[in-house]
Amino acid sequence: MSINNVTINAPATESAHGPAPRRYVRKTQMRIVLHQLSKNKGAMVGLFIILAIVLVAIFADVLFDYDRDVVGIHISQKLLRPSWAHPFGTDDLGRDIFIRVLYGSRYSVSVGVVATIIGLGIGVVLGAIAGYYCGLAEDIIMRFNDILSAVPSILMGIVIVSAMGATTFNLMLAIGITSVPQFVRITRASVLTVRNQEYIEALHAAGISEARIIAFHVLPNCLSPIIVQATLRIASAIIAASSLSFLGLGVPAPAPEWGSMLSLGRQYVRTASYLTIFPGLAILVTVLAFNLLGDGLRDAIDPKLKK
Amino acid sequence: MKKTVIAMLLILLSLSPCFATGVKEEQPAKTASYKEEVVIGVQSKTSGTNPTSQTSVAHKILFNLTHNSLVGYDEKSKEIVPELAVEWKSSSDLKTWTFTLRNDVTFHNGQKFTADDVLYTAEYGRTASNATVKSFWTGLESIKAIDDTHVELVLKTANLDLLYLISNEYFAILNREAVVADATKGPDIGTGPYMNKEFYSGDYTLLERFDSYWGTLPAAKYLRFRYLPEGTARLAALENGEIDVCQAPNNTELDIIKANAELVLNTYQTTALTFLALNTEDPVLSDQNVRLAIAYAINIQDVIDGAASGFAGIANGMWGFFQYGYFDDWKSVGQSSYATNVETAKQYLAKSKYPQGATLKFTAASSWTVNALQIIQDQLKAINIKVEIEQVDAAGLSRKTTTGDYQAIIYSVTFTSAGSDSARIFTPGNSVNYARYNNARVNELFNLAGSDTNDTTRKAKYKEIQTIVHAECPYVPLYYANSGVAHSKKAEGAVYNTSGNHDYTYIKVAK
Amino acid sequence: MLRYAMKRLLLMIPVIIGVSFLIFFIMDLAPGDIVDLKLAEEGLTYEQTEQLREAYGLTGSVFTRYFSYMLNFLKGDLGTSNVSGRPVLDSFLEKMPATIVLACASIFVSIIISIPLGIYAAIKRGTFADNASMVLSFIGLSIPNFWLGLMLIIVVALNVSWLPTGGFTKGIASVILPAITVGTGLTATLARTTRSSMLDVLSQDYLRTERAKGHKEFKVIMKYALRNALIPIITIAGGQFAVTLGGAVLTETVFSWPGVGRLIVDAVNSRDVPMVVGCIILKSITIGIVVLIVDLLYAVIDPRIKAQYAKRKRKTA
Repeated sequence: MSINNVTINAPATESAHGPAPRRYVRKTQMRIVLHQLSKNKGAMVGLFIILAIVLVAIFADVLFDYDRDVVGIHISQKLLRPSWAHPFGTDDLGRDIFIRVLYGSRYSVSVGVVATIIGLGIGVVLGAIAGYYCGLAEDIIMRFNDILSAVPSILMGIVIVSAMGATTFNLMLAIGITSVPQFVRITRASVLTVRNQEYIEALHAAGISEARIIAFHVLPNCLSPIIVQATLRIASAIIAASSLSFLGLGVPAPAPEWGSMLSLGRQYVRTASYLTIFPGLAILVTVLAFNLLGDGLRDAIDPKLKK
Repeated sequence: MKKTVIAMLLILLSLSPCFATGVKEEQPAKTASYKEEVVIGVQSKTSGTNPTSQTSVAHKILFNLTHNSLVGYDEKSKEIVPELAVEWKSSSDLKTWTFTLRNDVTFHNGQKFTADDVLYTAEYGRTASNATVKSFWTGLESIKAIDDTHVELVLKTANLDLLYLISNEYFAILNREAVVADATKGPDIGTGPYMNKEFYSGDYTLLERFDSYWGTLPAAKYLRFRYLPEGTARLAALENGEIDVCQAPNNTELDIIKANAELVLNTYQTTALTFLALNTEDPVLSDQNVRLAIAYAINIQDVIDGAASGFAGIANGMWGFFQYGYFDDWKSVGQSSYATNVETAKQYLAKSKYPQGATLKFTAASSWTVNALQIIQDQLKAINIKVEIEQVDAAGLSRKTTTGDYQAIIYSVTFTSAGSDSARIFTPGNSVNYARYNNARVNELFNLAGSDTNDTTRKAKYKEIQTIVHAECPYVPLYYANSGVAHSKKAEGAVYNTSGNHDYTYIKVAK
Repeated sequence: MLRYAMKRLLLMIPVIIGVSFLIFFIMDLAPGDIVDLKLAEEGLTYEQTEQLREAYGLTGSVFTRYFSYMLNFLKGDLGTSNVSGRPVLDSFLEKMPATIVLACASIFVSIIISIPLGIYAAIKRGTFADNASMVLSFIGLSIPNFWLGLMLIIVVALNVSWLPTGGFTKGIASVILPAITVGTGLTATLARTTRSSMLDVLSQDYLRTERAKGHKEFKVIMKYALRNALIPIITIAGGQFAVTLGGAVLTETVFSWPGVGRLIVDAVNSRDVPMVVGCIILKSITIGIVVLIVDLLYAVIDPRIKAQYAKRKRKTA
């Protein structure tokens, strides 16, 4: 919840970068951005961690037998301290925490990514419409946006998940919806700068449909701030998901989502702290990776901040 | 510094008779060496101060301090004891009951307690939101005051458990003037040793000693009940000296308490029976053989180890072991207890309409039930029953149980020692009948037993109920969880009961 | 500028109406209502539940219920809690001091950590110390704060006896750990802003002049550079203050902090619709006003922004 304001509170980024108008220019800009990014050690570390986590998430089913290793209960082996056999120890139902943390990357990362895609999908469409067509459409969208952003996002998430039920999809939806306002605002701001460029008017004159213009000519030139925002948003979505899980509003058991592992382990925080330390660290590392990458991207796109 | 404190205490002491009624002058002297305020860390939130509206244990603890009923129930001796009534007698048909009231009792607002207040309590109770309270007062034949200290109750049907029933905190006697003057705050006024001083729902309840209390005055001037929902934080607060008593410490942290020389741990097996309720109106679970298959496939000890950290006793029947008419000698009636036996479970399943197994959805409403359901989910795989776990919150669960939109839930109920109390889970129309069980013979037996004055035949009726229920298996009894109270070594005088309904009246904490 | 402020305040009205309807509508989707809970807790009979639904105004469509709620709202009546029977406004105001104290304290924590860190990083730009302090602030940003709170209770509160583990009963001491928990998350943004803002200022010519005058480097940085770098820092801290006022729900839960966040969560769980809607409306208004004040402050501090408002005014007029 405290994360959301990273980007809200960085008006410098929203206005300072000027996306280059033409596509060919964009390509060179892309190369510059990638070059800049590759020089940023933090971003590279972040990218590397993310790739590793994604690989684990993809191959989790190959590596482990879900029924036996991930959710299989072995009461006789409960609460074993970390050892060679169980590097992170076992939980109160005798399940290996190391395996569950690795497998849990599936839930945490997918919740983060899907929630962001939901927010991005809705936010970009609304933001583009608001930015491109002024007038009534813009007014309606922006007022709706004001309404959504007037409610603190964690409270909104709590209300939505409580109302719709604690399922993985509802969790994604709730977090996605709370991130809509930021995407609307950023997209609209970028579209506003692109809209009045001459080449758009030229396309218009050539009789190309407005939907096409927005989708293929306006939005591609607004992508960079949206990508930065999306990367950072994945980080905060993962934290938001674990926060809601901590309040019992998360992915249902026995799925090894990190937030719910933390929540169930919190009564062992003093006697078997490995139940909370490792899922907590997993969240920390993943979120840190996305934050580092997002931040690196922002610096690469907006050299003013980097100096 | 110390001298000033002592001087001030002396002044206070000399003044205190002015405030007290004069009878208990020697009492405050005792408090000098004890803390003025005792803080109790509690795990459940209290949502009101009106004794007739709340029935949970968390509320009963408070109402026990602020209010009195006509009679009380001593959990240790299992006997009915006098409270506002000094004595009582009943007619031979157990329908007419006469209570002799104390004449030395005043309410917190200074009003004298008389028989009229009992009449008013009945009048108020007939409109109460609590079903037990409402149905009792509306179901009376008559109630009248013979004089200021005598009240006569006439019942429509004989009730052996009358005294047990009205000893409950939600039958507390209210003051007519107080409630008439202020309908919301009025019911706060009682005759107990403590008065409601401040109440912040979700934070704390502060009680202040009522110096005109009719009984022995407590030592502590203030009792503060602090709501600390996190077990870990609650215990930490106790270790830190912020609270003097920590109710229900986490089972996982009992060793920390034992290792701390400053703390005392009281543990006991609760009388809360935890069970798996199988919805008998569900298409799959209406099949008795499926229910029995589930009962035999569950390994209760594993559930206890995983969900209650091993601190619980296995339940052998759906009747409190401490309850009137308890029976568990299944062999004598040609049955067996639901001990884990996967082969038996498979045989029952083979006899059912679902020999190939089934997919079921079990509902959980709190983290410990989630743990228990995960274990049961794992165990039922052995008989090819696939369980999906659905998590809802308390309101969602309640809506589901009202509408019947669920297959199974884990729940726990604390029965009173009266046999009739079990009717709550076995007869229709009760909101805790989570199996939605309805057996005509069982309903009839409960009715008959309620007015049966012969001990032997009454017990036989309760035994028959238990035999039927055990054979039909609407519920799988699981365990009686252990609980406890940890407190500082300096705290004494509280009575910790296995129902969780602790009595803090005479708690005192040395400075 | 006054006109601008008035306009912003007026614009809040449709937002509040929208927020209240949105929350009202979502709460209506929730399974179970207050009567269901009472049924479970107090053992009501089924016919009583219908009477109670009537009494709580839970019958009728969501639109008619919302309409009658808003009618009362316009009369200045936020309704009473279905659980405690007390006015929503009273409950909100009762919990607000704790929320404000926590928000102020966490901003304070965030400022005292992040500003020195940011300045230090800017001065030592490109060095290991710069990178390390930025990584540190990122870790602060990435820690789930409920986890940090639990760790602080275990590691600190249990070993330092004057630091309570929760509640708001020991005055200033009780706010320290919750403030660190919330403040840690805010630190990263503020530290970064401080760093980049300082970098902007440090390259300015007038600092060279000051140095040339023979002022000590420390004085140059603290007196001349920081003062000019402060504007964006204050704006961001203000924005964070608004966000913190909005929701420290988890920290409040971990530390049993009697704030508004927990009040709302409890109300959601007990389906206390008037309480949920009322508190969220009040919260949105509070945040809206704080954000407005920050914006105006920004304008007061920075003449360039003030000029912008003036321009906008001309445009709209």
